[in-house]
Amino acid sequence: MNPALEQELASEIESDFRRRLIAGCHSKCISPAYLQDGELNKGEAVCLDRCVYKFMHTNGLVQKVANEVGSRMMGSMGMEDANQPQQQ
Amino acid sequence: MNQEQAQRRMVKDNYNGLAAIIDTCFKDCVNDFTSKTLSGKEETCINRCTEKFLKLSMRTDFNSAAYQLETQGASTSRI
Repeated sequence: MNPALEQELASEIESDFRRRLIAGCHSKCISPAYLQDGELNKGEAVCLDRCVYKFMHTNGLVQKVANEVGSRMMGSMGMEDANQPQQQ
Repeated sequence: MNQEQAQRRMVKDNYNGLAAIIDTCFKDCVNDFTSKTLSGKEETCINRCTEKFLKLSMRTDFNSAAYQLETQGASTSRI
């Protein structure tokens, strides 16, 4: 893939990741019941800080598990080397 | 589809696949915001959730293919 395309893809993905992170943590931390004013109260702020970390941890963990499951399946199909980096 | 488009499609499909798992499992498993690290319980939940989701995904693909086979000759339009 040419570098310009790679970069474009990378920035699209980054944008989308940010969107999901924000949506996810809004859902976890902001309850409509507390829409009394536009400021983030202390509870909401603390929740958001922790939520971002947890989302990042979740992101890493899911990728790790997905890779392991993938490798396991490749192994059982006799395709252990399928995931090895290709020789350029 | 030329090769660049195909590669782009592949990377996006991969990303979207993972994103679906992450968003679902985060929503279902992570509910304790008294700390910034995942608890053991949450980690276990995410592990199981991810495995299940991947198996669901595979089974769904299989069922889609089976349906296509059964209805061969009939319209494959999804509208």
